[in-house]
Amino acid sequence: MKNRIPILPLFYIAFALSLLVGLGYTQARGIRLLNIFSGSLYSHSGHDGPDHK
Amino acid sequence: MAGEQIRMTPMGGVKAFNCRNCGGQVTLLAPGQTIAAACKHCGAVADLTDDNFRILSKVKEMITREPRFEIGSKATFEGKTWVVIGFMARIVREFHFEWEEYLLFNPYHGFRFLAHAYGHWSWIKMIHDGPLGLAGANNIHYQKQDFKFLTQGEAEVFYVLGEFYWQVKVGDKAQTRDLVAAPRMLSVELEEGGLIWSLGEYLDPQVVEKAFGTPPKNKVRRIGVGANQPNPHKVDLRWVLPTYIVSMLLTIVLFFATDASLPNQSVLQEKRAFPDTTDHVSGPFEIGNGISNVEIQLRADSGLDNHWVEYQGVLHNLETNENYEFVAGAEYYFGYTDGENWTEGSKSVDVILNEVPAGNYEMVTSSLSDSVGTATITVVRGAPIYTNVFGVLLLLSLAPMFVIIRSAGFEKQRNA
Repeated sequence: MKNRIPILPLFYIAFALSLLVGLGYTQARGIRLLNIFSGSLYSHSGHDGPDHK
Repeated sequence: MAGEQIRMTPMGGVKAFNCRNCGGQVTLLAPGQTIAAACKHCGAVADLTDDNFRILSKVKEMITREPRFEIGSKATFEGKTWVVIGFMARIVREFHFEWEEYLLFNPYHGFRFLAHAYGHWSWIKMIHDGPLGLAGANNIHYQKQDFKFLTQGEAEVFYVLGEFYWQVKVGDKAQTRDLVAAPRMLSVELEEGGLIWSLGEYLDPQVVEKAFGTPPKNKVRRIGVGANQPNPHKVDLRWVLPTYIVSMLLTIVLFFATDASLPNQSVLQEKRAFPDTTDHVSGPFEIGNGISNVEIQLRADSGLDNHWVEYQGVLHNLETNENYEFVAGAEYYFGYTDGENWTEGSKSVDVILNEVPAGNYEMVTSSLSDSVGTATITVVRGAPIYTNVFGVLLLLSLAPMFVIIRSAGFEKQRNA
């Protein structure tokens, strides 16, 4: 059988590493990714104070 | 027969003769080595061991089954030159599965078979050290490989051309069993003479073309998966699985290591009555530890049975005047329907606000509801987030799942 260059596993390792880095970053910053991808749960920042202010 | 021509080889074998059925001349390519020959003119098979070349079989109607490589073609396999001397087509009627077998001959190395089925080729050698007593086994360990049962059936010869070293004839039947350790296939045939074992090896079509120096006639693309075709996805599997396991472990370790460093600290807790559409402002409270998340935990203490409540709120930074809005809604329903108790929703809900900077804050809330009750709102600094790690674990699993499904799909086709 021919020796195949394992392209897919290399992609997978790169993918896994990027996920690990991403997880480390979001954990360190306390970021919940679902908030970013979901419209129903959101945070919003701005300089307008609440109405009672 | 008038005009009959019999030429003898120096070894005593017949080199050519006239067919008893049609009178056509049959020239032999392996004289003295074969005992049956099919007439290319009428398809009748003659017995070469009989002085009168008696007919072993006739075809009822001339089947046009053209060999992909002509009788007499030469090919190079195993570094040796072989001549195609025989061709036969066989079928397992139960599965409507047909294949072709080419008998190749080399005067110093004997006979080999080249089998072809639906674009898939195999190089086959008879073996004399077959695993005795295991003809009916589903798993056979042979030559350091594990062969697994693939298929069995009654193979019938329905077309013959050229010459053979056994008395082949149209209509010959044999029970066959195939066991596979791709790219090899161990086959056993049960015939009147006993068990015949053979070992085949899958050949890429390009290898066959190169061996003959020409493409086969009526060349067909590979259809489906060959019985002993190597599974190309198994190679990937060997790499991905260990990588997958290591990645999963690293993810879990990373999660717990970072999770332990999160403060997960309650900085405010207030009871609120609902509904209350007026803005209610909490006392000031401090959020520390740089930029991290804030979790708003809403727990309905009363009034939520078969009702809903929604709190709208803002975390207001007293120093920068920045606002962080949130909506936290809870609903809880229960009942008894069709003999079963059921519940839906929850009396509590958590909402996470991402990246809330440290500072002094106050919380402003108002609520809507179709009921009257009370709820406790808790503000937690640096709450653990589980969905991220589950998402990463899911994404990490996709590639191995894809490879496993692809590999299993290939094997499923092999067994189809």
